[in-house]
Amino acid sequence: MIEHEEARLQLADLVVAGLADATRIDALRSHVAACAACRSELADLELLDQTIRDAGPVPAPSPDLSRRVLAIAAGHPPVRTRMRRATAARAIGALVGVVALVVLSLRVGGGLQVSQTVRFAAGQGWHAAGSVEYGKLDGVPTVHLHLSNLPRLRSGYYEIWVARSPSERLSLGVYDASAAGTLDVTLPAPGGDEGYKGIWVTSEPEDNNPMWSNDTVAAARLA
Amino acid sequence: MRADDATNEELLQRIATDDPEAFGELWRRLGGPIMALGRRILDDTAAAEDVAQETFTTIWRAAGTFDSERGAALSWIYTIARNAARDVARRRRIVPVDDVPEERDAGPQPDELAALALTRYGIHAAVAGLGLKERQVIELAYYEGLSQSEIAHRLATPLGTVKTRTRNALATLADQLGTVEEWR
Repeated sequence: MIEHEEARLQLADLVVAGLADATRIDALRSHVAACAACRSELADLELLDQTIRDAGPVPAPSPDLSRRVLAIAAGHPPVRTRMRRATAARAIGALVGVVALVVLSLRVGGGLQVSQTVRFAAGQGWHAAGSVEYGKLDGVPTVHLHLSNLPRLRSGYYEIWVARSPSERLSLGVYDASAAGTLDVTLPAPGGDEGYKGIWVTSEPEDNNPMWSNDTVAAARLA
Repeated sequence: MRADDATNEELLQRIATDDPEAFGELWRRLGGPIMALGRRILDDTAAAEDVAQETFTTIWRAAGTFDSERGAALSWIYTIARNAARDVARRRRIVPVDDVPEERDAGPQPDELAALALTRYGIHAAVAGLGLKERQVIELAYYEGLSQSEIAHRLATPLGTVKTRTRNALATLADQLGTVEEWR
């Protein structure tokens, strides 16, 4: 006769084939027939078993998607980070930013194989100017974006979007302008065959709404 | 603590302090489940990728607002992913599967589809959150249809060890599924 606690720990043997031999399974079934608690737990396990089967395997995100997602945290800190920093840290950050800009420029200048360069047009009420380079860096579709004449926002942040059309956009992340009023970033871009038509930079309020605002700071059309 | 030993709640706390390692670990655990959720809701792989990217953009921005006393991390992230799916659907002009009006008795109703999406997200997250060795035996048994003996052979691992891992994995998944049911 099998003990209750022992049976309870081995109920999975009645659900997954091959976990126990026939003698053991008979003993477990005898216990379950007489034990309401184990019957209930077995029913839960059978539901779990079916749910795992129905759910199917966990899909693996594509390497390109993983690269884009990990870029969110790697070297492209969102504006919320900057907003929490103290004034002294901002000054240090600005200095680091200048150094990073030089390093970035050297790297991009030396490595980005530019397929097209397009100038930004400023949005209504904005005086942003700059350009976007689209090409490949180490074989990865890459966007290098430079904008100037950007005011530091008192609240909210700048957000970069690529789009197939004005109504269908994909966020590439959120940023703050440098103390000098510039935004200079290099980002892995969606694949070259994605058919993206343009790049937008918008000013976004801190409203937890992930949709883009209508406040376009600058826009550039890709060929 | 290593990121792969941390709970999802601990990872969110670390992400709130701008920890890219924690962010990467959360992506490793939940990127697939959120992709699957997006695909289930929108029936479109490219749109599901947008959902995953927007969800993790929001997680990076908003991790500091997560309050573990108000609910589990998986539940919080599920809500973000659902909202991201709605936004992507609007943008791409896709009607989410669980918004499609159904004739009565013609199939699952929207609330049933939503409940199913939640359960499967929970299971995927739980499977993805298992340790590598336990995840292997579950995937080989359920999705490649291998017997316990075949798994032992494939992994060059004693049969008794494979059985123990299978039992432990199912116990962990049962706990997780119970937690998901409590979100309803």
